[in-house]
Amino acid sequence: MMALITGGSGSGKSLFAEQMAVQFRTEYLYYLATMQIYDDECRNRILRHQKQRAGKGFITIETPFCLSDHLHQMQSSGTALLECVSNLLANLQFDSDQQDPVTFITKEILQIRQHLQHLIIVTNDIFADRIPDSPEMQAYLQNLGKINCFLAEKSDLVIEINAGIPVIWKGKRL
Amino acid sequence: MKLIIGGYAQGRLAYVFRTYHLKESDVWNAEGTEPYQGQKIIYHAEALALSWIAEKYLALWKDCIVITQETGSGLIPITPEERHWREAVGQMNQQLAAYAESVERICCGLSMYLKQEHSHVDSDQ
Repeated sequence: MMALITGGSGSGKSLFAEQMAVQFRTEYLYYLATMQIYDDECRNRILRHQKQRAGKGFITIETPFCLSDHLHQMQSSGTALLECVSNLLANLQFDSDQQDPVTFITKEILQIRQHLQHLIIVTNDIFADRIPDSPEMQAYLQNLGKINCFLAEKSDLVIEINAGIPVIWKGKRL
Repeated sequence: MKLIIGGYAQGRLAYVFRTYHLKESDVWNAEGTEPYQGQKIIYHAEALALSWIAEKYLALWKDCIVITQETGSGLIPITPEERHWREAVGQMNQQLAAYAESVERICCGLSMYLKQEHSHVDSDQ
């Protein structure tokens, strides 16, 4: 099954997604990490997330650009948690030559989804405010919005997390 | 009136087209310069926040599907103009939502009812 988890910053969506991944009880559990380290703030955030998922049995795979490069590292009976689409898009849109990051990311995600038993995708809800003036940021929001709409349509389960509380938009919780 | 609220790039207009069997020619874009000519869909209602006159627009749009931008869940804007705009959109959205028979929130292209048409729930009782 495929689940999309969205929510604002600090809403508890990562913790929720990790717990959900563990609940599938598959033999292999993969954590697809997308964040690149630019500074101490990134490093600290990564350390916090590593600490949070320590002992839960995740195998971490660093994949800031190309998810399909790592298909061979994952058993098809396994579960993967992709964290998160907003980082992946930022890497591809601002830090690569990729001309069409929306098509690229959606194809890649479908490919790993087909490869695995379960895929949990964490994305970000950053749309409910004034639209920024910068064309680059507008394009980023439009791209992330398109990816989120696409993934929601393909997912069996879509959950928004607000203050740690799940709000179900689509499907039935396990 | 049906109110559709949600964040930027969440597929609100596509949702309205799909769900209510409407098309591009049914849309009046409040961000544009064309005068309103009775179209069914009011798009970017937030563009009118600073010139909002509740009595006028609620009457004019009483049979419309109004699409507005959800705001307020972000950093407090740096400039007074942006803060004023954000507050005005919030106030306008509250009045639209109070007037509308139904309010749907759109996220990732999906809809959730915040207020239902023909609801028998009476908040005064």
